[in-house]
Amino acid sequence: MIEPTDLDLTLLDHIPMGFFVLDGDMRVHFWNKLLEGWTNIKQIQIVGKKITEFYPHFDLPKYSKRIQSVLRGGSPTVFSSQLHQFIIPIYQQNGEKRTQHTTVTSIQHEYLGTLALFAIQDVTDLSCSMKKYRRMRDQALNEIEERKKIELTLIKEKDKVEVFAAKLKLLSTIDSLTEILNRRGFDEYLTKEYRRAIREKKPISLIMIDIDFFKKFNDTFGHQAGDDCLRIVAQKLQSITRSSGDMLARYGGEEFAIILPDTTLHSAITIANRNRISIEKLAVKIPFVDKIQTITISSGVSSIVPDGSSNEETLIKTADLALYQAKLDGRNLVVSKTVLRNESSILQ
Amino acid sequence: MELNEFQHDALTEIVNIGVGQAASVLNDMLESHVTLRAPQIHVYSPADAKDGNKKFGDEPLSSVMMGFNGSLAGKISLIFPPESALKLVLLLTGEDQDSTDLDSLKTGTLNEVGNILLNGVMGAIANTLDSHIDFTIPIYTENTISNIIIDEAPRDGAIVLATVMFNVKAHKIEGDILILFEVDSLSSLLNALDHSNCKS
Repeated sequence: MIEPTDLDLTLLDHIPMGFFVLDGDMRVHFWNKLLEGWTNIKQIQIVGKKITEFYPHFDLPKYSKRIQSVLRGGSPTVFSSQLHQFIIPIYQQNGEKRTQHTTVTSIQHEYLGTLALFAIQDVTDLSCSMKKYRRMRDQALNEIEERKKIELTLIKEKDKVEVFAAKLKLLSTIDSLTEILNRRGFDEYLTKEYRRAIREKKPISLIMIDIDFFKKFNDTFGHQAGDDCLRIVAQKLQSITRSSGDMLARYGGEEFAIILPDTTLHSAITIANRNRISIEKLAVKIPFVDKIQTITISSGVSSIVPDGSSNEETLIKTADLALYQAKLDGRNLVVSKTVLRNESSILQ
Repeated sequence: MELNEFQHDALTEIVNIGVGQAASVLNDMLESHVTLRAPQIHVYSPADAKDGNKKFGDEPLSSVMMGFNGSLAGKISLIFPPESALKLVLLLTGEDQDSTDLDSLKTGTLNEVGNILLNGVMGAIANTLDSHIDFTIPIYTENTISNIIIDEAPRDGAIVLATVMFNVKAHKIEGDILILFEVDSLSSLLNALDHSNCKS
């Protein structure tokens, strides 16, 4: 039995690291105070005994070969905490093993020959704080990822809402029966085109159209036939309306309107007459009754080269007046009035 | 310093015995099977060390360095370009690239793997000499080759460079062992080699 006093390494009791010494037979010669505390094994219990009696893993080639090399006077050996979590298993309160970084160096002793000095650095707290730091970093990265996902979803939802809103807006300006612009769409379009006419100093014309004797048609053939009639007139007028910016709208009831940007009174009258003739030729088939009914329209045309002193209301009022005149004059007529000169002419 | 053909072959042989022992230690320890080879060595004078820059460039290199003193004196280090270092660590530990612990894994693992390799080589060198050699504890650093050589190379010594091929899971990774010998240390070693040759 070798006494601990054979090897005076008591200085190592004052260093906050675990130290122990093995000889060539893997017998323990020194076990410092810190190790006593960590392992609950007193130096007196372990000195002179083989380390493998207490820790059999020292027999594994991955430890023994390298320790033997140091015991032959070889260079220092490192057991990193990354490749070996520990060299001496030491448990924490939570049951987990402490993480150690161990360096084994050879020391020459006068009588004992070459010995291996194990210096164990406890890096548990270091690894723990690194793990904690990594967890926090991972958490932060995850949160960023989540936020990005939510933002992406929001953007998609916003796009959907915008598409929906555009659809709604479009629907709000379309007449559901005839599928042409409704009164609201008409107002918006006229305002826009009237402003453009002012800016570009170009004429703008308006044709107000009313189906003749529509009330009588409705009363005779029923509302279903009345709706059919409105649809057929709208479709016909739409099919012959120029695509260059002219816009057909249902103004209300059996009244239609055509906005004609960049169009003189003369051209507007020509268009109104062509429309009148087209409708006159149109034969409306009455559902459930084996009857074909002809219909006619009356039109009032107004035109203006706006200078900013007038507004689109005047254009509408003038066209309305012309339409009223056409009705008075016997229907199936086009009557025109220029806004500026306030003069009217009757054309057939 | 000029080596004759025999000395060159003997030194290459010693380095290969050393890396072979290191491979055996690594294979006891790791899941992955590792083979190591050092097919070529070169000897430079510190004045030629500029040539090092041609091979290694100015990038910082991962290195494990250990000093030795006694009948031979100097420093020995294992160096890797950072990417090779990381790749080697990943292959040896089986960790994946996304592991959040790469830096500490790299430092610890390379320190130990480098230590094993340097111990193998120094063990083989020490075996050819009968006298005792003292060693300092290995340290891991990241530095440029010029800093490694300028900071560490003895002015009148000699530098032995051995390229080590790691073969892990069909991947080949190259590292370099750099031995910086103090004045006359390489000559002592070569004398010992000549002597052992005469003995045999």
